[in-house]
Amino acid sequence: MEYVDRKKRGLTIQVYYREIFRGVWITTKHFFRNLWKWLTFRKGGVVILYPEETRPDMSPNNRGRHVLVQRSNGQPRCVACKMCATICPALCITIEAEESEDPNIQRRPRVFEIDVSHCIFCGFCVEACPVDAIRMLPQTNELVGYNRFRMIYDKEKLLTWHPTVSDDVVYGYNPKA
Amino acid sequence: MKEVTLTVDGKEITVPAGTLLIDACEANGIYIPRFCYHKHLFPSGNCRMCLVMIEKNPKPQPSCMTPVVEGMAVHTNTPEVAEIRKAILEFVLINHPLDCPICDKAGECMLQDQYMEFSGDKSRFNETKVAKEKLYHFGRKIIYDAERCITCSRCVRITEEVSKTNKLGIVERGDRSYVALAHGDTLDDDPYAYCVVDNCPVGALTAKYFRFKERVWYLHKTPSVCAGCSRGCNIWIETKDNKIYRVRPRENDAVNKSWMCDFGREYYILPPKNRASGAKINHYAVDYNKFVSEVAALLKEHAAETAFVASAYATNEELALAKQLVSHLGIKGIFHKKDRVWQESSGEVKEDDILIKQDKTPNMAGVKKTFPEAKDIEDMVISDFKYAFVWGPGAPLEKIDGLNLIVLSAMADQIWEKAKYNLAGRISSEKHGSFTNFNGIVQNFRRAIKGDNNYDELTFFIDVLKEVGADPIGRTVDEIQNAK
Ligand code: SF4
Ligand code: SF4
Ligand code: SF4
Ligand code: SF4
Ligand code: FES
Repeated sequence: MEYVDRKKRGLTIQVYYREIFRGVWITTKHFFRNLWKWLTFRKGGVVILYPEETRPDMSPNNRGRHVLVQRSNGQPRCVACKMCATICPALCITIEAEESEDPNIQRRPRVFEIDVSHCIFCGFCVEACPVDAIRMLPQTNELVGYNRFRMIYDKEKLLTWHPTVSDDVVYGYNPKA
Repeated sequence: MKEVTLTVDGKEITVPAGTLLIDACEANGIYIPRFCYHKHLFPSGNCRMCLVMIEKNPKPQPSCMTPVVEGMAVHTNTPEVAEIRKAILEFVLINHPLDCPICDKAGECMLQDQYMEFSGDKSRFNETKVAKEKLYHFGRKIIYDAERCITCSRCVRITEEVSKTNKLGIVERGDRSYVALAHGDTLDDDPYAYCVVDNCPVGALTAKYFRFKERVWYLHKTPSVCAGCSRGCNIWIETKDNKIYRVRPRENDAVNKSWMCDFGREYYILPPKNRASGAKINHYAVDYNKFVSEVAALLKEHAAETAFVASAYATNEELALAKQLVSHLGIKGIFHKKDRVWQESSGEVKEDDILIKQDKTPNMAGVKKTFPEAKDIEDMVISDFKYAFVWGPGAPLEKIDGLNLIVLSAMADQIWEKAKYNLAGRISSEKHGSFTNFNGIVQNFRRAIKGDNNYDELTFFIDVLKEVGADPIGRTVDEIQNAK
């Protein structure tokens, strides 16, 4: 069975010496261009000193990854309503609810996982959240992992950033908000 | 019965005299919103959501309290009625917390639905909402949230009219009123307690077994019939990822109206203890096909000295095939048993005049109809037999001890341990079929979950029938699918 309509290799590629020299030329061109940037003290010339330095050419529209917003006692504001999981078109959010000891909170997530390797960064989850418990922050743009299981961000990982919000902006009707 | 004719929104309808206006409209395709009215409870007319305009009547009338009269002219879609509905919803929402994210009822809440359909207005209420008790335990089964309660009194009327325990009442007045139990009392000994959760129009009453487990829109609902007793209440089994999350009554005026008992619910919610699994001969796991051919050969050879003990948990379809097998082989000793999956618990209601029946099996009527000649296993003369085919759990061990046992059962009880031939069967939530209830009503149900490592009784009987050279009257699921 043949699904892919692959193009036949042209003669120029079959005679591959020409392509080797073309590749060497591209590498050399970038080498001298970057060397020139470095010699004239411009940023991004050679390397980025990751993680101290971030890429200067990151778009301001970059959403960044998800963080869970915290209450002042460090507990997630999330009430495990699963609105984000329901709207998520990539089906990458897994939530399990449990009973909280605080009768005014009642519901909280026991498990909150986002599989970032499946996420399409549409931001629907942020929009769907009724209590502003999930956000995407442009500062959190490192999305690295040695394998795909490292890309499943659990509750602890999502709570490592601390965007602060006032506790009295609770979900529900708030005439002053 | 006398009939009356009236006009609703210019359409002429004819209904039996004495029908309530709200039912008359609904029967003719006009839904009137309601909170407090429930088809199977006495109307109380306190929520006012069902107000309609009746000609020659200066003021709106609650349609749940108004019986139809000859020549009545009713309007349910005038701007005035729309305005009334909006106003009522605004009033109900004055003190209602916007708890939808943490409320178990979100997705099937009547207040949510009706707000979306009839109002959509913003709140104009600037004062502080009345704060009430948020988490009040009505015993081990149910939690009450007074802030969400709209004091429709449905739960109160259920304990008055259905379970007749009169446990709940509404205390205080105005925006301070709430539902209360007598001091120190609980709903634990009310055998129909979970019905108040199903029928609370908002999420004020939540069941602890389901609380926060899953959001309702994820649940897949399968129509089924409760196997907890011979009443055969119609139920919805609600599942996700092959796990039962919730069980709710399904309306059927002839059997259970809108109710079911707590025993029936726990029958499904609690994971079944001692489930049997696999096919075994002499306690060693064997291939299913080998099992079928060995059992078929054995039954064929020893038909005259085999006792066949039918299961009152079997479906009518399985019983019909079993009957074909028994008559094909010429087995004469046919018995039925009063089987019961687990022991009686203390405080359990054995029988009442509401729903619960003494006979805890779902299909004894089906067994008696299929095998009219069957005798009670208690009357069995053990010396007449060498083999016994025991189907279903709960056979009395002392009656069949010493016989060579072939056991087909979903439950691994004492008999299962003693048997030479074991085949694990399915429970009713794992199969399609029908049960005949105690007064002869045949009710179909569908499979809600897949069991693992067990075998479909229907397929088993068909396979055995083929093995002994009969032409089975039924088809297996595979055969039906391949025929398409
Ligand atoms: S950004 Fe979109 S795809 Fe990613 S988790 Fe949120 S809703 Fe899902
Ligand atoms: S929508 Fe917000 S509150 Fe609801 S589960 Fe997602 S993060 Fe939590
Ligand atoms: S708890 Fe529910 S059913 Fe009972 S009065 Fe309140 S709203 Fe009605
Ligand atoms: S009355 Fe019987 S059939 Fe109905 S729910 Fe209870 S146990 Fe099940
Ligand atoms: S439904 Fe008629 S007043 Fe509540």
